[in-house]
Parts: sequence; C-alpha cells; structure tokens
Amino acid sequence: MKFYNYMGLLVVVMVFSGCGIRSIPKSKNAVEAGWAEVQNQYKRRSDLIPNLVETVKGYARHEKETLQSVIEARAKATQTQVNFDQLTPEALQKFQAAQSALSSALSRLMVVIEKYPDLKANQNFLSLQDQLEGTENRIGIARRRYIESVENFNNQVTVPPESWVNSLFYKYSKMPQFAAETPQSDTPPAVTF
Amino acid sequence: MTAWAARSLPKLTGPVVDEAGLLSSADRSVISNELAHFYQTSGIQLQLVILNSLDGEAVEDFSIRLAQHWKIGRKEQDTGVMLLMAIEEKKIRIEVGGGLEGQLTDFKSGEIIRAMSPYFKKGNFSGGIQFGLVSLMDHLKGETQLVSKGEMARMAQPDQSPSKWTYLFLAFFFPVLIVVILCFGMLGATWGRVRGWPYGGSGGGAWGGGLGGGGFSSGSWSGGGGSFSGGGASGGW
Repeated sequence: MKFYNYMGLLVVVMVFSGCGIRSIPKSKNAVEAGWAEVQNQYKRRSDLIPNLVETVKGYARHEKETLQSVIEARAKATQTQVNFDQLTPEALQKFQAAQSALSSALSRLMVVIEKYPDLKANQNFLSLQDQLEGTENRIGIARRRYIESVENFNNQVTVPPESWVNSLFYKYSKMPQFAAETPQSDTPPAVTF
Repeated sequence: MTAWAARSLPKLTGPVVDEAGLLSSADRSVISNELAHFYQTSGIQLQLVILNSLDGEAVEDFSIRLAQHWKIGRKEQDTGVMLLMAIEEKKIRIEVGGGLEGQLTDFKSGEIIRAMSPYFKKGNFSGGIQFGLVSLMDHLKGETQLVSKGEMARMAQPDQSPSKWTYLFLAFFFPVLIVVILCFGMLGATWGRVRGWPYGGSGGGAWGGGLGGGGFSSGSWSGGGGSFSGGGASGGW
C-alpha cells in the first residue's frame, strides 16, 4: 500500500515537473531580472545627463530652452520608478511615457549640438556621447530581453498544460508588455532631402 | 520593427571571419595567430568580423545578434570582444562583453574606432584593422592582470604532476573512447559495404567528420560561452 502511495507521488511530481511546476516560477524570475536590467539601464542614462548638460552649457549658452526641457524630462523620468511588484500595465505605460519624453528631449538636444563644432570636438563631450549612445543601445537590448522573457512567461500562464498548473498552484496573471517605443514608431519616418 | 527578414549569421570558422575576402591570406593568418595567442594568454577572446553588407540591418542589432549567437568570450566571465566592419555600409562596431565593459568603456571603444577610420578612408583596410586590434589588445592587456590574476598564475606555472582527473581520464575515458572509435569504424565499414560509401571500406570512415578541419590550428576556435549586453561603440568611415 505504502509503495503505491510513493509511486503515486512520484508520478504526480514527474507529471508536474514537466508542466510548469518549476518552469513558471523560473520564468517569473527571468521577467523580474529583465525588468531590473531595464530600470538599471534607464537609470544609467539619467545619471549621464547632468554631466552632459554641464558640458553643453559651456559651449551652447543660447540653447537654454532645449537644455531646460532635458533637465525637466530627466526629473520626471527619475520620479517614475516602478518596482517589480507594482508592475501593472498602467504603471509600465507611465514609465514608458516618462522615458520616451526624455528620449525625445535628448534627441532634440543632439540635433541642436550639430551647430557647435567646438563642442563636438571636445573630449569630454565625445566621451559623454559615446556613453550615451552605448546606453541607448543597452536600453534597447534590455527592453528586447524583457519583452522576450514576458512573452515566455505569459505563454506559460496562458497556454495549457502549464496554465493548468498555474491556476492550481500559482495563480499568476500575465505580465505587462512594452508597446512600440513611441506612437510614431509604427509608421516609418518621412525622409525629406 | 523586426519585420524584415534578418540576414543570415556567418559561421565561426576562426578568429578572423572575413566574408568580404578583404584580407590577404598572409595578413589573415598573422592576425589569426595573434588573436589565438591573445586568447590563450589573457583569457580574452577577441574576434574580427568583416562583412560585405548588413542587408539593411542596423549594425548594433546585427552585432549583438552575432555576438550572442557565437558566445564569444569565457562563460560567466563574459570576456569577449568583437570588432565588426561592414564594407557596403562603411560601418565599424566594437561589441564588448559584459565582463569587460568596465575596462573597455564605450568611450575607449569609440576612440579606437575614430582612430581606425582615417586608415579606412584612405583604403588601407589591413592597416586600419591591425591598428584597431593592436589598440584593443594593448588596452586590454593592462587590465587582464586585474581580472584573472589567479588564472594567469596558473597558466604561467602549469601543474607538474598530472592531476587525478588525468589519471581518471586515462584509466576510464580513454578505453571508452577507443571502443567508441572502433564501433564507429565498424559502422563505417558496414555502411561502406551496404551503400558503396567510398571512404568507409577499411573502417576509417568514422574519422572523416570530426577530426578533419585543417586550416587554423585544428579548428579549436569556438565561442567560450560569453554573454553581451550592448557595451561598446559604433562608428564609420
């Protein structure tokens, strides 16, 4: 009798170990790590900005407005932090909006900078530009990896047989996904010469 | 955003992957040996990639895809660096593995690219490439001692006596290996008889795939399991 009990338990464990009992929490951890990396890289970007603003100020005094909008967008973006346990679709959307406002303020600044060849040759500026470009690249990669991890997790909690295990034991709901970067990014940009 | 059919990834055939056939075979073998030696002594896997074209993909997107696919650099330590150039787009990228981002900063990568581009503008590709690789190696050399002092020491003084694993290997795995080889040889021979396979007749057929290769030091170059998260810089000429 006892032997059959153990066998039953073994069968249950074996069945479930292939059906999400381990993989669901694992992929949730992957989403958490992915989100931490996304926040980390966005923080890295906002840490670069004060230095950038100072450097640009020295050469481009007349661009007060552009610089001001970068500073304001940065302040808003650093206020909009979202912890993993508060990560709802609404919170993610807010986070995204704040960060893309900063992105566009920064790209406006970079366009303005084209007018200042002295600034563009400045070593400090070159260093900041490299770091900023590198960070934008890292942000893109971190976002892509987050998106992939969420896709995997959402499949686990919605597609059977893993989803049955989820509704029995974990009761996790889907994680929010990033939308396309900006409203315009769905349509290709118009190129004029 | 990812709708286009991304271009195919080249095969990792050695430290120099030159799709465009830009380098002479002499340059190619000198650079390959240099990079292989650098990997052995520093633990940093430096990879050169020369492409004809990116087929419309952004250089950063392609570069991270390739670096992650090849897994350049040591596992866990993420000590891989990839110098990639695309002829048609005139793009250069240095992709830096996660473990080296602190030493080989985005700025340093950018500086090296900016110093390479005058060579390329003049059409001196070989010179520019060698300048770039030497700059990378020089810069990274100072840092390797910090990263893996213990490992360097171990490499400098290899164990005099064979470890117990060596004995274990000799006592157990080696006979197993021989049996496996014999089995495959017999299989090759049988196959040869049945299918008229020209190389299998004497039982030597099994040697064909695995131990062939030739070219760069017996094909020992492969990704070490390193990971990338987007460090480095891009530029052009």
